[in-house]
Amino acid sequence: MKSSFSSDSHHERFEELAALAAVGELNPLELERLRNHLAECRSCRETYTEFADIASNDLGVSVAGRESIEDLALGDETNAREHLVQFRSRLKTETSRLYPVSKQMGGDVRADNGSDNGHIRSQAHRRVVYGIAAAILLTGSIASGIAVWRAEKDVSAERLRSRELQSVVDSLKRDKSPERTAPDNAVVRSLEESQRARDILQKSLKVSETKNDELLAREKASQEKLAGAIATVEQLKQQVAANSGDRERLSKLQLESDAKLREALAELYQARQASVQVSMKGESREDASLEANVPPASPSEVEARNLFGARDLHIVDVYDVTGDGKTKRTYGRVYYVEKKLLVFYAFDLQDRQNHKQVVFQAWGYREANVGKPLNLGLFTIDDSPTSRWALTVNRADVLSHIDAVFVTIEPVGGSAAPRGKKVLYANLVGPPNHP
Amino acid sequence: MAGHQHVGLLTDEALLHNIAHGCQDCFDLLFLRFFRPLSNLAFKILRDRSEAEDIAQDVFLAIHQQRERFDPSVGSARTWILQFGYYKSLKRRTYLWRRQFYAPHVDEGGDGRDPALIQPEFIQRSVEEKEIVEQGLAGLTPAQRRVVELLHFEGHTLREISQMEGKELGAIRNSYYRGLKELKTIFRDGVRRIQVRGTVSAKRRDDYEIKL
Repeated sequence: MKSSFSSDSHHERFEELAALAAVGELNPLELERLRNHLAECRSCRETYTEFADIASNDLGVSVAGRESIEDLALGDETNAREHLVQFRSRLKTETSRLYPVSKQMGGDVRADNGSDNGHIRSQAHRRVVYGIAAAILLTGSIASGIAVWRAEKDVSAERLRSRELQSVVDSLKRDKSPERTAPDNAVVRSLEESQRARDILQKSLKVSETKNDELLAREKASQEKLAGAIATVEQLKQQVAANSGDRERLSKLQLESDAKLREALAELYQARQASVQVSMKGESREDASLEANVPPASPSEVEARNLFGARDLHIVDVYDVTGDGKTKRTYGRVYYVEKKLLVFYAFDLQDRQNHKQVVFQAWGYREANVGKPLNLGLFTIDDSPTSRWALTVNRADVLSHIDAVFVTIEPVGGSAAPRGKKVLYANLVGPPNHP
Repeated sequence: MAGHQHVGLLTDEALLHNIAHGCQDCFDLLFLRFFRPLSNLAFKILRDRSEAEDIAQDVFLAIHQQRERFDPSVGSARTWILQFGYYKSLKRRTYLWRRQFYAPHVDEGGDGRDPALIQPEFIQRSVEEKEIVEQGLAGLTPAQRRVVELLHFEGHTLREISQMEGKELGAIRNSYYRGLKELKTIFRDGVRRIQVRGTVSAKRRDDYEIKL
């Protein structure tokens, strides 16, 4: 599709050239192109022929039809007659057919006009006389006439050609610069303008070169700065990498330190516990013995069997203790086998104390004895869902010296003597109530 | 063949008829009658009086040499002579134009080395064909018709027309080409041309014979 379009366009261009060639309106280059194309393209040759036929013949008949009829009227024939003479001379040089035929034709004419023989005869005589005279004149003038005619024609042709060439030159000049009147001046002006333009360009070039040098210097400085910045960045990167290594190492050390700290705290806590136990052991042998053998929170299976199968079991409800020492509702229960086993269950101890940094420590004493209470141990959580705490005491030597128990809130690790708030209380005095 | 008197009342066709039979006086009459219009027509195209008068003489020389070629059934003698004058003038102008650049090589009768650019043979056109040409011209766009008429009827070059019309030479050249192409399309209607010619040629031939 494209090639077809291109081909059509190609042919159309040459068709246009063909149309212009038909009336001689092509320049040499176009004429050469058309000539080369027509040598190969039959279609365009036919087109040219048709265009030339239209231009030469079809339009010719229209031109002839439009010529003014006044031109045909017989006006001043002097010029025409002069040219007729010239034409006859020319004709004689080119052909010898006309007059012999004319004489024969003239004879026919004379024969065909017998009714006017006198007129024709006198006309014939005049023709003979004129012919002789004309022959004499023509004999001498033909040669010069021909020479003059040829010379005039040559001169005329040369003049025409000269005018055409001049018109072409003028046309070209007008095409280039219509306002020019004096070619030389125009050339000089053009040269001067070119020189001025060149000077301006040279100045501009110098300025540009200077600016270019400045820019190059700036570029060089910028490159140096950039190189320095890059080096700085590299150093910073290395430092960051080193710092990163340090950070990791420090983190690792911190972790290790934290672990050691935790171990130390644990050891410290154990040591403190041990210290407390040691101090408690120093104050009371019973206490020391108790601390040394911390009973489990809940009774063992054997203990549970002894507990539930005992004949002298006390089941005592534990009461909350008010500020004035009076009991309130039950918050625990004590299972007690005289002088053998005590299992203390308490409930909701944690709710009584919001802060966690405390322990619940049980104490035993004999009400009749105003002596120092015995440490029974610390409560531990026995069942978290029910918030049940428990403490089991199976030391007969301790249990034989108490008939009441109470619970205090003590600091972590417990206390050697009850110092905190008393929260629970149970009296073990009285006969066994079970079974 | 009946005899004749050499008076100015003889028709152009009658003069040509007599010329075809060798009458010099008729030829002289025809020369005096048509030299001026032929010269004027040639001058329009060639813009040179000497060249125009030479063309007029060339036309009469050709008429003399080819006098029997005039066909009165096709068209009038006046149209034939002037058409021939136009044909010769245009041929001469084309030759002169090319000679500006190819003076040593161009042959007026058609460059022998350039057979593709030879001007076609002169063919007498009929009045009916003239009407077709007029219709074709009327069918052109105003711009195309203007360019064609200025070039062919007024004898201006395309460059002159470009300056007269205040348009680019390329546009004028293209307008001329478009106009000529449109005329080609119209003239290719051979059926129309033959029909027109066929209906009148016989009548015209009869009229010619009667005048003689």
